[in-house]
Parts: sequence; C-alpha cells; structure tokens
Amino acid sequence: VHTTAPFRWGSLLATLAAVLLIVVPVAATLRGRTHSDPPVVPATVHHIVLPDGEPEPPPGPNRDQFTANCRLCHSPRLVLTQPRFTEKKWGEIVDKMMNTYGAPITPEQKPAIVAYLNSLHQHEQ
Amino acid sequence: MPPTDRQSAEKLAHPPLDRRQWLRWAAVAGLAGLTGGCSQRTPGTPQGKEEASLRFPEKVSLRVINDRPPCLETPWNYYRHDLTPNDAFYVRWHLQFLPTTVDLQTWRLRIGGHVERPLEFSLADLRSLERSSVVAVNQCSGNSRSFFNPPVPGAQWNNGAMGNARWTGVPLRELLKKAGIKAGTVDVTFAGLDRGGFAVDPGEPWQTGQHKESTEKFPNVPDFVKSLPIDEARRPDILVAYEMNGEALPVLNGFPVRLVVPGWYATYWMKSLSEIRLVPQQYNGYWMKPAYRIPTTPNAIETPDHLSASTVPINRMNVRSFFVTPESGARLNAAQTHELEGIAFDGGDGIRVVEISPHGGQTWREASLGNDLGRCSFRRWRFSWRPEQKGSHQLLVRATSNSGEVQPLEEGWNRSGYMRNVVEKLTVEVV
Repeated sequence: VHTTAPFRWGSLLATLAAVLLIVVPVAATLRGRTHSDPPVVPATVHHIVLPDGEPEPPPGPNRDQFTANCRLCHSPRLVLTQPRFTEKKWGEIVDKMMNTYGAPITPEQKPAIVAYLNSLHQHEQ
Repeated sequence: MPPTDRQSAEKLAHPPLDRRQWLRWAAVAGLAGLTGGCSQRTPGTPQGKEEASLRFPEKVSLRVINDRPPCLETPWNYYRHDLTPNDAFYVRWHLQFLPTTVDLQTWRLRIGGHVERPLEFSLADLRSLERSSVVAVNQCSGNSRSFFNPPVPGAQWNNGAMGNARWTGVPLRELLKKAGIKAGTVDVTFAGLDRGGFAVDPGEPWQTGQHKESTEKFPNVPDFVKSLPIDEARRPDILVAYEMNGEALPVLNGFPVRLVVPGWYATYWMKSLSEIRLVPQQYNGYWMKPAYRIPTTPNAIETPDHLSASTVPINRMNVRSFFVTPESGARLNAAQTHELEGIAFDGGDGIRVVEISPHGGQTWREASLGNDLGRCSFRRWRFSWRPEQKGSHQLLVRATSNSGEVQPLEEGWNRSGYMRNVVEKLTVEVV
C-alpha cells in the first residue's frame, strides 16, 4: 500500500488542479450570473440594457387608474409629449386603446381616465 | 384577462426585477386583483430630473419622444453629414418588448408560406451570399407630425425622424429566388422579433406565420407585421441588410438584420427581421389595415371635415428639402456672403433641382447640388447668399425630383400626420 503512495499524491494533485481549473471559473460564472453585473454571456449574444427613465405621471384626478391601465403598454411620456387635445379627442384615443390595443379599461373607468388626460395640459401653464 | 398574460406576469415576478419589469408586473398584478393599484409602489422621480441622463445603448443623446417603447429623434446638427452616424440615427419602435437580447447561435431568418422550399438562414449564411449596398433615406411616415394643424395623435416628431445610411446586405430578390416564389403569390409579409401586449415570455419562440392580431372579441396589441406586393418585393434594390454605414446595425435600429426598402417610408423597413412569408392573397393585418393608411387624394391631403372615404397603405415618400445651416434664428452680417446648406430627397427618382427663395417665394434661384450618392440618398445642396438689407429675412427651399414632383407651398393635412412635405422656411436676422 505504502509503495503506491507517491503515485496517489500525484493523482490527488492532478485532481485538485483539474477541480480548480474547472470549478472555479464555473463558480465565478454562476456567481456573475446570479449577481448579474457584469453579465457573462457568450460572444454570439448581443445584449443591450434599456435605460429606465419613465417620468412619473403628474398629479391629477384618477391618476391611479391612468397608471394601472395605460402604463401596461407604454411610458407616461408618450402622453406627456402629446399636444393639447379636446376632451372628445382624448375620448377617441382611449377608445382606440381599448378597442384596438386591448387596454383593460372598463366602460365605467373610461370617463375617469379621459378626465385625467384632459387635466394634463393644465400643468404645462 | 387572458391566462397567457397572467402566466407571463408570474414568470416576470421572479427576482431580480429591474424597475421596468416591476412596473409591468405590478400593473398586471393590479389588474388581476393581486394588489390595490401601483401608484404607491412606484416611488416618484421628479419629472425632468432623468432627462439629462436618459441615454439609450449605442446612441448619443437623442430627443426622447417616448422612452417605452423608444421613439428617439436625431438632433438637427447631425444632418450636416451626408450619412447619418449610426449612434445618432433616430429610433422608432411600436411595441414595448424589444429584442434586447439576440443570440446569433440560434437566430435565424425564415422564409416560408407560399414558396417551393421553406428556408432558414443564419447571419453567417446571409453574410456568405453576394453582398449589395445602397445609400438610402429611412424616414418615418409620421416625420414632422408635430407641425400638423389641427394636431393629430401619435409620436410627436419634429423633422428628425429620418436618416440616411449606406445599407449593405443581401438583395431580398435573391432570397426569394432561393426559396422559389410559387405562382399566385400576391404579398410578401415581414415580421421582426419585437412583441406587443402587457407581458411576454422572452423565451417564447416565433411560430412561423402565427401572428397575434387584434379582434373585436379579443382586442390586444397586434404583432408588428408589414407586407409588400410581390412585384415591389422583387425590386433589385430591396435588401436584407446586416450593415449600416459599414458596421453592424445598432440593436435599436434592427440588429441583426432589417429590411431596406429604398424610397419607401420606414414602416416597411422591418427591424430585427426574422420572418418572411409569401401569401397567395392580399395581407390585411392590423399594421397594413387600418394602420398606416393614407387618403387616395393627391399628396394624401384631406381635411378634418372631409376625411377621404378611400385609403391605401402608405408607400413611396414624397419629395422634401430642408435647411441645415444656418439654423433658424441665426444672426448673419449684412453685405457679407453666407453659405447656406441643406438636404433634399424623394421617393427614389433623385433630385433634379433645389431652389432657394430669399424673398418669401416671389423669386427662386437655383442652389448647387453636392455629391450624388444615389437616387434614394440625401442630396446636399449649397447656396451662397449675400443679404444687403438688415432685418428679419424669411428664406424658402423647394426641391423638384427627376420625375418633376415638386414640393407644395401650402401645407397639407391628414388624420394620421403622414407625408408632410410643405416647402420649409428659415428665418434669420441680418444685422
């Protein structure tokens, strides 16, 4: 048994080296992934991170209902950059969002959201 | 609320969530009755504070028309270049789920439908085919919408929803030939990697030809799919482009490949193109009908009181020209010669002449034309002007195409804010 000891030491060292070579980078990769900065991705993957710069909707009547529905699909900025429309026009826009794009606005909620949209341009002045 | 959306919302709920994901989750959960609304869950950031730092990947600071989905406008000074730099090129997405991650190992461009042989190409496959280049203007249908009077809803662009680039790739015609166009093909449809709706499973693969449409029974954000008539699609200059100004396309401009349709509005230039499908009937998906339609009237003009009863899909660009330097409001010295400069382009005939009127349209003088980069490119014009009288001056610029199409002096209007091409004015102070 003792005569084979040097061979075993060599084997153990080789195994240790192999473990260090394989496990450490893998562990580092995994740790990098769980913490996600910087992400470790293969060279074939192209990845961008979009900035998060959504303006908060200004205070106004029924703002919560605007937030809960309109922000499902787009930033409030899309609304804030619109020109001044009549209440009727805002109503048509909300109709389109409901009937074409499936915004989950109930007929009861619609006047509340239109009122919020119509109030927005008062903040500009 | 459809179960698929709820399932997707649950998938999004796994941490870590960035604020963007959290907002969506909170909003969807709120709908499902899980929370009482989300305004108190999204801490307020003062408006305007984020403006200065709102930079998008691979882009210089652009004018943010919208941040989700991104609509970003090119600052005017970049039109001093004949080719708009990639990092300053405007951005316009319709749907909130962009392909922010593209793995070229698995990405394929698929051609199917009414063809002899459905095919798929990796990016390397496309790059191995004979390449072709074209310099062409990419202009949003709604460029300049903010100037419409009365105003119309939509992304409120000034004039910066356009750019000119050298596009390189494979002619679409060659790919169609390889797949074999079956007799009876009417339209060719194009779809990209972006997805609409409230929530999405990012791992969800495309089912070829299975696109989400909005119906009366189940209205929802329809997938962005566009089509060209087969005769148009066979044009030799339409490209599946993998390079823009000699580099890979920025992700926000359609990496890894986008369709390039020289002379036609950008709505047809499908970004992150992943599926081409031939169909034996007219394609009438949402983004072809009723969206992106123009009146059949000359230059697509109608009035709010008399909307045109008949419409067609928007198609070829009309002729336009712009002042680039000096900018409006500039102060110029009297009795000195000033070099005015700008750009002109049209829907693919090329520019015959650009004229300047230093006196509000009474007389017109010809500008000199710069390098000809192709009939679909920006054409630079220059004009030496020596004002003698001090005071406020209004100059006009008017382009005429090789087919004789000329910009109108009166501005037109249509319900969607498309195809504005009125003669542009520049006001300067001569001191």
